[in-house]
Amino acid sequence: MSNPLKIFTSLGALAAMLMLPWVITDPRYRDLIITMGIYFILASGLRLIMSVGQVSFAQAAFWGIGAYSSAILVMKAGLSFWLSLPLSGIISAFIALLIGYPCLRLKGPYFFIITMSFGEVARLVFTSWIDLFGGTNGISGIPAPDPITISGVFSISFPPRGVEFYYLLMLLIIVSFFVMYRIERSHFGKACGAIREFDDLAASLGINIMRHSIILFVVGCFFAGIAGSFYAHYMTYIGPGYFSFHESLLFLIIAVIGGTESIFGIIIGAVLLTILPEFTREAKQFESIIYGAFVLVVLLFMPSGIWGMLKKIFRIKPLSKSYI
Amino acid sequence: MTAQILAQIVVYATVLSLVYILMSLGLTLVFSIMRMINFAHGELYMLGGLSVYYIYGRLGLNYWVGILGAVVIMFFFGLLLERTIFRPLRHDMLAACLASLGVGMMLQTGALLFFGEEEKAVPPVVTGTFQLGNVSISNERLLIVLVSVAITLALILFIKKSKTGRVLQAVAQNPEAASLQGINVTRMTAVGFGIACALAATAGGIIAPLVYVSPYMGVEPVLKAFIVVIMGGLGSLVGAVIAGFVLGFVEQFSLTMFGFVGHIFGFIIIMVLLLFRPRGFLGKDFKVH
Amino acid sequence: MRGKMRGRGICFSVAFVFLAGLMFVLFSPAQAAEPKTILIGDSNPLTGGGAYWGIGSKNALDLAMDKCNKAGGVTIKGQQYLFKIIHEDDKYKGSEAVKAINKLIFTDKVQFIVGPLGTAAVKAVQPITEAQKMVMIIDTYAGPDILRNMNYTFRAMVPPTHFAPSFFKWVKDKHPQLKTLIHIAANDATGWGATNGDNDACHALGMKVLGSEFFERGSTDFTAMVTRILSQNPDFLSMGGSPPGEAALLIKQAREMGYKGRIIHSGMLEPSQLGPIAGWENIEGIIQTGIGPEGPGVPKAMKQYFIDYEAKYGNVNSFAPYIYDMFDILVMGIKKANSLDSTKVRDAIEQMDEFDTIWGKARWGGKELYGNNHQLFRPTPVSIIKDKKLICLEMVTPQEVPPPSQEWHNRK
Repeated sequence: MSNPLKIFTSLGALAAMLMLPWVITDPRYRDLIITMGIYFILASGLRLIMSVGQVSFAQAAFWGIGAYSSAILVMKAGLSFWLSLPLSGIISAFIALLIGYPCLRLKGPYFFIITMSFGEVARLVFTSWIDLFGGTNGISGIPAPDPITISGVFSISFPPRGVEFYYLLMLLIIVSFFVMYRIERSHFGKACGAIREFDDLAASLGINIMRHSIILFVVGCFFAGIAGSFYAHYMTYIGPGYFSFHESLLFLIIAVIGGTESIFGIIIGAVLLTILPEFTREAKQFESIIYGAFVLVVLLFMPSGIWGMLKKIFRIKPLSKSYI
Repeated sequence: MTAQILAQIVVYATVLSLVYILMSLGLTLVFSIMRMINFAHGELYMLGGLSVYYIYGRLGLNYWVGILGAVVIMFFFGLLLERTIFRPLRHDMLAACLASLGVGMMLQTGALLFFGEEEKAVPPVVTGTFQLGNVSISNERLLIVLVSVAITLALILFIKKSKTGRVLQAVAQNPEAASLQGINVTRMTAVGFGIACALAATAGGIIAPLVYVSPYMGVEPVLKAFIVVIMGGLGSLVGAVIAGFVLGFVEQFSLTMFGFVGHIFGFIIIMVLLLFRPRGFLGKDFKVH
Repeated sequence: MRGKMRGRGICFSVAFVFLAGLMFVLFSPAQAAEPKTILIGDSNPLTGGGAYWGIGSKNALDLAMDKCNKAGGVTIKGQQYLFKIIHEDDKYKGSEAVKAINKLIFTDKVQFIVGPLGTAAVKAVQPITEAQKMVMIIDTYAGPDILRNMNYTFRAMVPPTHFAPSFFKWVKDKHPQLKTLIHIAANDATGWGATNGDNDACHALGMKVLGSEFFERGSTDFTAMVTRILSQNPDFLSMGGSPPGEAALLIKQAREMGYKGRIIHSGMLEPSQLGPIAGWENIEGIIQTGIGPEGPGVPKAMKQYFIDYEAKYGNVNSFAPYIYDMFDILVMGIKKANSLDSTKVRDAIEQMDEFDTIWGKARWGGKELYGNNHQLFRPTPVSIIKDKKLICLEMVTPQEVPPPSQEWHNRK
């Protein structure tokens, strides 16, 4: 962070994020921005495991695990949201560890099918274990986060879909962004790039592929769990349909369309793929056709995603020297 | 569990397995030649069903003419898809997968606009039921059993014995070596994709009279087809046949014994099997080339 | 090669932009709301798994709106208003429903909402509509939670909780030999609503529920389930909560595998859709609560509705009649309130006495179960499929207080 330009840009971005609710006051657009934020956290978590060349199709399942854990911890165990938020991340991460340890030995399509199966198992468990997860009816009436009060000084409460949720999410985004950015810049991140490009060579150089993959998978799922917890308390209702295979595919599309080369690509992907369906909403049933065509056009003509193309056009120098 | 129930499970599990195998043949071929998971497979299957619906159900032509029509139409459609979308993406497996997803989305919605949202029936090809011991099974199902066994055997023979089949096999095993032998890998890949689309359409056309046709008819079966193909091992046809039987029997038994919860056991068994055989039943090590 | 690629890229992009532009022009709504227009929002699945229901709803609402507008709309405090419905696609998903409703409320500034179907969609949007004090008329089979503590949500569809006791009583009276059953439904909120409602009713009537089976929506193979059913051989299969396509295949496979008992569906199955898939001989004698233009029990207004619907759309949608009234109910509420203020309209709807619908006399009720009178009660048809046609035999009155819930998922 020595570069003054970088500090300036970061501060600018931070100021823009803080100011945004004053510019965009329409609740519809605020809701869309929050959706973008959640998609960003999920897709950037997915990008972590993609940086060693593995594609997980269970991201939505871990999102769901976080959402359901948080709802249950708050509503049945009576915990405070502020405790259940990190806890649901930890639960997701723990399950990711259990699943990842055996499954990450599998490569490519085999990893695809095993994560897809896990995602289906998770969805079916949410559907079938009615006493705990509410079955197909889901869980409704999830309370808002408890107000933060420092006696006599100030108090922040969370009205339904209020702007306070926006600031909470921005905080989560900044934390996850920072963590992922540090991973990317570290020696660890560079090793991951090496694993993706030449796994045999990396192994012969003494890089522990398994350890690297597991850590990335677990961190990605931790943030998916956090995003789930936030989502549950923001929506106040969750059901098993929210966390299906198709949502996992959406996060993958976001990551690839935006460009997995840089975390900024994920931002672009999340923003574009949230806005596009709203922009083409008037097309009604043609909407999916436009969406599909958009995905095809980007894949065919921007091989490294939209970020890759922007980088080429504006000759942006890579912020980090690593591969991810 | 009485003998009657056991017999019923075995008979219907065999039918289900053969349906799964039939649905996964085209996918296996694409997977072996192009190393890509074709997410549009379900929609190609659906288009096969729709073609048969229009040619046989609406125009009133012979059923087998309908199947033939679907095969021809989808073969050329496959060539077109390969040329415009998948050939430029052949070096990027993930992009090709997502592109197939985009294609699938467009085909599905296109079908919804053209065909309508209602499920429609394809008139039965054969009627009546057949008594197999104390298990009754409809002749429709028997026909599917025969046709899918025939198609599977024909495809395996075609790949193993015919000249084109051997060339396809060479391309699947090692494109560089095949190219050095003077094989036009690009053209063979296109032909392979065309055949795969035709196979998907055949499956749709064969299964359509047993079920119904609708724009969403491919959504659910395709997930099962993915499992069969990948459990079979890197594009191995015989592997897919084994995997089809494993999946069919595991599902039929667990669903009959436990009801809906059986779906969970089915997926867990698949996960465990994959952990013990990380390259599928008859697969080799996975390498992207 | 590269140049060729780029050329094609430009071609493709231009085509794409053109296409998108065309769509936009073709489908963009008249932005400026005329002073005499009441905007109503409708969010329904126009694509995806629930498209059959969603498109039926859209058609029914448009039909009702056209009729109302042709008759001059409504006059409130001397000012004449016409209606305009804005339809949005929620893809049968909760998260998409939120986006659709946000657009309707905050961008289109609709004054009322009709139509969301699907429990996930309604539950997901309720936090918004309730906070915005937006009168919303829904139709879903969900449990009592959907109306409890909701001040602006009305349910204009009678769920099985209320109609199943009367429906199955009719079945018991006319077919006393039917004593045991297995219930089959899709494993979604609609299916669970039907399972609980139907099984509670049958249990209370002294029938024996041997089990409840569920399947995944979109399934085409039910042989494992039928094997399970055959081993218990119930007198009848109760299939409420099974969508038409799946129900058709289920009937076909059950008959094919040798099930001889009766089939009862506490929902709507259109024979012209069902017969070709299930086989005409297999669907004879199915007792259900759907309605068509024929039979001694069909109300006169309903007959007229079927003529109008077919004249406008050229086909039959078995779900559409359930939605048609929603619009009329809202208009009655607005007329009665003589205002567009949502709280006043809400109060007016709550205080409506018995009123006429295409189904016959209807009223609001449900205080005992929901804590408010936001549940519509209207006659439910009992119909039978006979000679390939749906014949409505009679209309039965739903019960306001259902039998006690047995929580069927905990029982084997």
